Amino acid sequence: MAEHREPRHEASALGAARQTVAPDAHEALAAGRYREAIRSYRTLAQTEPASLWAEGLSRAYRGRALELEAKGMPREALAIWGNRRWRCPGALPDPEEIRLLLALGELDAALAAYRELVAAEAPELVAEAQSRLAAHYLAEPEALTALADDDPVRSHGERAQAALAAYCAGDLAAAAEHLGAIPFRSPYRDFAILLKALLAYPEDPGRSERLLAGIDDASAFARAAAAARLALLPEAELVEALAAVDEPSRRFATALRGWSAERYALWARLYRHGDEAAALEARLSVLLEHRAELGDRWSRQQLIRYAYHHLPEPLDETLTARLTAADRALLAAWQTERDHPDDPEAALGAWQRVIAALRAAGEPTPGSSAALPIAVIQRYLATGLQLAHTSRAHEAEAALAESVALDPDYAPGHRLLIEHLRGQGRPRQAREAAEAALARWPQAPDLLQAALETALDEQALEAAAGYAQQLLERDPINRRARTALHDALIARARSCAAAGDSDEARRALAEAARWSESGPAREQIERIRTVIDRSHERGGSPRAIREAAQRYGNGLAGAFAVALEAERLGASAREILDQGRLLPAGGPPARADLLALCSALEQAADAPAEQLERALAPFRRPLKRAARLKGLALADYATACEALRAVGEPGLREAFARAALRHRPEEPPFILHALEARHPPGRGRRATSREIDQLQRAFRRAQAMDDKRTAHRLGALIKRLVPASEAP
Amino acid sequence: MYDPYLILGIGREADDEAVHAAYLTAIKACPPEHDPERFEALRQAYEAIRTERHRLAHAYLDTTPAGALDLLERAAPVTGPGQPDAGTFRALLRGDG
Repeated sequence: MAEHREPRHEASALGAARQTVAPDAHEALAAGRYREAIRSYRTLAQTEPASLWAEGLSRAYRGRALELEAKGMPREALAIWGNRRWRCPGALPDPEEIRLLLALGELDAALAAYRELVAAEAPELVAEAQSRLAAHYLAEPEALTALADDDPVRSHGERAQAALAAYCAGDLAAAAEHLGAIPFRSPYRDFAILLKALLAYPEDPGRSERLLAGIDDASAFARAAAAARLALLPEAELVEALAAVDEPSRRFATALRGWSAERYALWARLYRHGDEAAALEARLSVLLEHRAELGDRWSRQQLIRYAYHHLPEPLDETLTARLTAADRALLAAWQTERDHPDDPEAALGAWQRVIAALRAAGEPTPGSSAALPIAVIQRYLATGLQLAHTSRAHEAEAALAESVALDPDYAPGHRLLIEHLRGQGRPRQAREAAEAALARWPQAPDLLQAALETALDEQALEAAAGYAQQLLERDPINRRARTALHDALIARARSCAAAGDSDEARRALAEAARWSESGPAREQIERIRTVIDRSHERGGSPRAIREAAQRYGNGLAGAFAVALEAERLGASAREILDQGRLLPAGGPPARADLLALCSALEQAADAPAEQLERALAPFRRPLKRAARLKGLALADYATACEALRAVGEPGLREAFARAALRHRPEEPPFILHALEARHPPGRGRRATSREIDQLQRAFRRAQAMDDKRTAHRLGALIKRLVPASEAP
Repeated sequence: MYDPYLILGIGREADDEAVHAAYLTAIKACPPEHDPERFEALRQAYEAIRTERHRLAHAYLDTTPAGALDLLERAAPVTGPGQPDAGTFRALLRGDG
């Protein structure tokens, strides 16, 4: 019984093995686990006819051989190729095997394998093998003489050899001619593409790149193409990329770039290192050993930078001996600034020691090459260390003054000194500095502008007018100069009028009229003149006042402009309005009149609060009536609310907001205006729970309407009005 | 590479005119649309040393050290592209290394 059962048992075991091992073999092969795949396929080949598994086993051997070669084990790889031939019946030699045989000098075996492929009439494999033989033939012209004369590797090879030799000798025209004689279908096709790419380099790198892209990674010339591609990289990328390729590729790429042997050797020292410490050490040693090529001064400059950034310990004596006293002081100054960032005095002291070291050879002549570095450092002390904002502001001034003395031909240095003195509230010194600079550069617009500004700081209006005149002669559209002078003269006119000196005020106005360039500026002057005439009883008539008001616009807007101007000039707004009969007798203003007044209010918002309050007082009644106007749009109410908010009129603002809410209850912007006006900051009035509810509803509604601005403002108001303990 | 002199390909002794000329030549050869990174490096290098005062400020106030490429460029500059010799070419084709 047992004898009869055994074959069935064996067959069933084999079937089980096939079922379990075959999937493992396929999976291992697909995953590149070639050793495992080889084991599994061999197991399978023992259980069934080997030919069934030969293809899988052959591919597994091929993968393993290439893997071993990539690991730098070519002999072991060759052994695997041998195993493949032995254990895989019918497997033809592989072109990669032929390449390895050639590389290992096994020429006879390589040629035998090649002939076997030719005899098997496998055209694709033959072409691949020929390409590899072609690369070898170019590398070793004497190696393949055993090939038949009519073999394309030899018959096309003569031209390819000649092209290579001509290219390497620099005879590019001859190289191109030889390439032209190589047929398209040739084992040297990729070589021809490679050499064409090299011939286009460096004049047409784009063409080189395109040609090289046409060489497949599996090509026998792929390695040369990759090396050529390196030469197309920018230098900063090339020096990094070279570290990742083999020596022949590096040599090839750097030769294309024209590197000298010295540069290559230096690259090897600087870039082939394991870690940052070794890299730093390499750079330092190159810095010290190549001082002649690098230049002594440059080497010293770099040495202190390396010491500043990289060396944890102070420089040792050998290195210190290479530095000058000024170098050492400079290093100390940098270190002081780095180590004591909040101590400008320590930095100042350190930099002053640098200056002392630079002066050690004697006081430099202003403008000389010895003086300019000191001036640069002095300017840095004032601006870089920001001494102007410390208790050592006087040091900044001294530094800037000295920089001007040492480097008098540097206009920005003068400008820095002038700006510093203005910033320190020293207009007279600033003006003197500006005049000194102008003595050197009388035409310089930036210095004329600086002089104009310093003169205005000093209220030296005649001098300012002189500078403005000069500026405008050179630059007629210099609005900055014109506006600065105009504004200063207007301010002076107002100040004189408020002090009762109407004659001087008129003179300032007459001068301002010279510089005013816009219609509104001239209207402003006319308005001021009218108010001065009327308030100082120089014959200003009600009609003249009305005309001055009308220049700003009919109705309330013009009246408000005159009223505010009167307050600015120290006169009474109400009196001048009464004299000019500028306020409407009764009834609400027209919508257009209201909107014009709102615009005037917005523009006047930055006037002093007390003047604004007195100027606005006569307009409260018409504004109150305007809030009850029929036919106002929601946008009109919003305009009025914003204008009244700008000039600080909460009562009127609330009135307009409530009027708007009667038209559109719960509208978030008007809930905001109404309740913000009712509860101004600092009043301490507690919001009712109804008001809080209203605000919260409005907040949610504004969010739902995606009105982010109103939602943000409502959120801020809720935060202010609802104590934290009561917040939801 | 950091050194603005090396980026512009000029010596330490270059004056304002030489710096300006080198900058113009460099940006003509490398307009921003071709290589924005290189163009920006050229622009920054020019800004750093365009006048004598800028050059002095760079020398005394800029603490950035030279990198390996700066050392390489300064100690052994490249004079121009070349061709590999036949031995180098053949070693690469042979598969040495």
